[in-house]
Amino acid sequence: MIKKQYSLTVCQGTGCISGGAEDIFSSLEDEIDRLNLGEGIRIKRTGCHGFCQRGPLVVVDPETSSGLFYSKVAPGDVSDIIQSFLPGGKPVERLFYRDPASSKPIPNYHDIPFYRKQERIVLRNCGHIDPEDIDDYLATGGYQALRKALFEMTPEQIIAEVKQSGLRGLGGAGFPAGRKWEATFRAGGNEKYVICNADEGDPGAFQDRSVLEADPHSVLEGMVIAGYAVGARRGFIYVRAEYPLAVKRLRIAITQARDKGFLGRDILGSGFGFDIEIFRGAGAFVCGESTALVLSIEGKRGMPKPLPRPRTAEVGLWGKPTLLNNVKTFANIPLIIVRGSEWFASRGTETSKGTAIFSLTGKVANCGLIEVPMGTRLREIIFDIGGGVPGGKAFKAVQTGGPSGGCIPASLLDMPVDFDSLTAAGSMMGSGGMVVMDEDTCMVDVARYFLDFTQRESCGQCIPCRVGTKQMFSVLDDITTGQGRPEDIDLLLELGESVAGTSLCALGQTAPNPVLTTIRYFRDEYEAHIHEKRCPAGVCQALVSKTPSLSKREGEGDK
Amino acid sequence: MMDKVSFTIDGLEVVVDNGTSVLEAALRNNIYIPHLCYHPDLEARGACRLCIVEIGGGELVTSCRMPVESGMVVKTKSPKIEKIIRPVVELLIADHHASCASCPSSSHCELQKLMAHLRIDRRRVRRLRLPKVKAPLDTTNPCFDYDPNKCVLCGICLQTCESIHRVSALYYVGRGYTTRIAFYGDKSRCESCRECVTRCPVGALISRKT
Amino acid sequence: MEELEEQLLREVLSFYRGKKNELIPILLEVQGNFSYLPEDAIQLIASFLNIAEGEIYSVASFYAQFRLLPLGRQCVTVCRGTACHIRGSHQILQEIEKAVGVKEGETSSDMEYTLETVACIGCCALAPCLRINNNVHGEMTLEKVRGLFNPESSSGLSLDGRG
Repeated sequence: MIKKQYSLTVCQGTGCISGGAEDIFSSLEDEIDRLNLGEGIRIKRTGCHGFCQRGPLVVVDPETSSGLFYSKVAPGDVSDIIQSFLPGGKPVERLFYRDPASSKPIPNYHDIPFYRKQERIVLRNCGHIDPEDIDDYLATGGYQALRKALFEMTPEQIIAEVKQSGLRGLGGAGFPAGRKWEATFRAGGNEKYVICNADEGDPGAFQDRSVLEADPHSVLEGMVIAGYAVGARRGFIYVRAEYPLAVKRLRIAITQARDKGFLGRDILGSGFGFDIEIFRGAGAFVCGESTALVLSIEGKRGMPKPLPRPRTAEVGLWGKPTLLNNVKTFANIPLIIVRGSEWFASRGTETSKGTAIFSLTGKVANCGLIEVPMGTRLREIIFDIGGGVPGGKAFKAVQTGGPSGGCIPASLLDMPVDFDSLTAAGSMMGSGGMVVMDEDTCMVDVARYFLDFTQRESCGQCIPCRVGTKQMFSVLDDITTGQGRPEDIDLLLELGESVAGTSLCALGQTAPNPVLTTIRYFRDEYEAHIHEKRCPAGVCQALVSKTPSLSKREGEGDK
Repeated sequence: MMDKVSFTIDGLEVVVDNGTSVLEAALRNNIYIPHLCYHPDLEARGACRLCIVEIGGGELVTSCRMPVESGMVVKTKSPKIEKIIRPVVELLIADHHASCASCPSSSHCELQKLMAHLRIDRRRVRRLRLPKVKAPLDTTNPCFDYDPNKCVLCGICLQTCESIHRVSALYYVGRGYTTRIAFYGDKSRCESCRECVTRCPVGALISRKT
Repeated sequence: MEELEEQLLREVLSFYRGKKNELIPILLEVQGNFSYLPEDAIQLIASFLNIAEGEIYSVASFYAQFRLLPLGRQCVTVCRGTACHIRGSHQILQEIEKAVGVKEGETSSDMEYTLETVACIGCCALAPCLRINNNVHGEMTLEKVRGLFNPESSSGLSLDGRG
């Protein structure tokens, strides 16, 4: 009945599921069955496509250049989608993505600016394969890197390859991955561990969740290769308990990998044994600190250990050498092994190789998960991929690095995005949150928001972080409720420097960044709150009656 | 391996046993470095952050966990240290419901000692926001009371109980600013040795007269 | 503890070996079954792992996930992540507080609703979002909140949560 073979993929990421994607999948399946079109239309579930905001997403023939992208699909659209494949059928135009500026429909998946400008390496399979079917991963060349590593490479060669690639840890600090691998490899003893940090504590980042939900095997494969390289036999994935779907798909993936011999006592007959367990985190941002995460797996309070101390690579879980990397770091490994370090290092900047992944959210037209080469300019990310600020509003700032990062103003939009540039601007790469703020966002409120977060998440053991973040929050709370004092900006700067300089771990050391950067770039907003009891963005409720309405002209409506 | 190492602290050439921490070496030579969580009988935790000193080219380290190295040059006072440590002490005082006059620990209180050492100016403390609510006294232990308002969470009581009785009857509960020391269990767990009370650097653990 | 509950708890524990590092997985699983950590359960877990009850409270009170009080039938979790915050999650929370009559961290006296917040659900592209039991609702507006929690609207919780 249908001449051509069609392939239909239905996104089953957490975002699309919240929009009803499970029902849409089963309705599509039913409709195909009802019309007896199973021969001509292959339908499959995939993980996150990244463009969550336009979900639920259905993509027709995603692997071809003419692939169609349907967004905001509802159960009522199912029959029209299926009819479109029948002779004389036409694509369902009302589901096409429309350019936010021109409202022009863009039917083709690969023409949508959100995707066209990306370079997807870590996200290579996300939205393309069925995460619950290992055969789909194998069909894309999955586990070939593991074969190559086990049978053609020595651990030293693998570590050299990772070092040469220039891959830096994508969990926050950006420590060179190869050096961690080497340190764990060199550490003595025959009991070692590999831990994948999937605790993703940054409240505004979801890439680890998306990768685990969409392509769990790439992470498992990276971990097994790491285990072979450093000499570990046991691995753990420390994943947030808030990510139930990621946990479910990891469980399925681990079972399938064991069945196929990619995990277990004797992997692919190589004699090397490695297995992976899932450890669900119980909600503590501070467990992003390696020593705290390790204590958490041991069943204790996650209170980081102070320096000087041995590195986790030498003394980690149960006192044994432990390699700890982030989800995205492991997901990069199979490609580095198969395609080589040169291929990987050919993208990015001098000091930041490969790609960066961001959760692009906030006041931006196209929200979602994106991957771009390191060094891409902020402007390209926010305006070309993100489609700019919606509703004709003016861009004010972009926040990167979550609670450890800072707010970058419009004057720095042409800055390249990499580890070092972000740090120089007072922010950081962090775990990849990128929240766009417009003229309606109050920067003092944003600073208050982040300090509220860090004072809740402080472990409480060291004085500056425990009492200092609380104090900074109280001062900011006063400023946003009209009780700011003239000396408060200086006080915040002084406290910020002290908390950053004395805190025991990176949580406290970076906690003042949101305050320090907003004072650095948006001091006038602090002054308006303190001296004029006015919130220029009209956000702070206690000051809102004294705030000029948006229709009034600038500078006219004080008091 | 050498048994003795020599190093310079505040311009003074000092010889100590190998493995001694900078803080211990200083205290033994009558050089006071502010500290709250250090106790000579216990493993250094580096939690209070007050014992930060400058070594070599200006690197800041917690002296309680930093072993002395031969030839090391240590400064316990510098503008850099002063700038970051003073606010921490002020924060602590603002947060510490201090009524020294009626406090049983007055005159042998480590916090008073370091306030005097740093010449803390109460006017600067007034810039800070004081906590609005006072937490109630915890009287669940049979032989001492716990005042969370005065506790600096140095952890000495916990470490003491653990080191003497192997299993502690005291625990941290909560997280962040709401962290408290709590007593769990009955008389059979606490042997009423009161070592924790004796070692409390402030007036947070108070012996009950029975 | 009722007999059935104890039976369930013992069954949960039978999958563990009694090692100390199993504490957090056990607590998560027990809470998954009971919606909170009952006092009796903590006693049993303590003896199973051969640790003091105080240690369990100490660990449980450190992690945001654990609760010592039972949940309402509908647990409403409002995300206070960054993207949600700047898109107005605070107003969403206030509106829900009004609609269900409990404040953040509380459970209604009829045990119908518990209102909680969470650092991040991880659906930042659909901000502001919330979760009711296991279902995520994205792109919330004040109107959608009223629709979700209006007792007259029988369709209430079956809304698919889309804009």
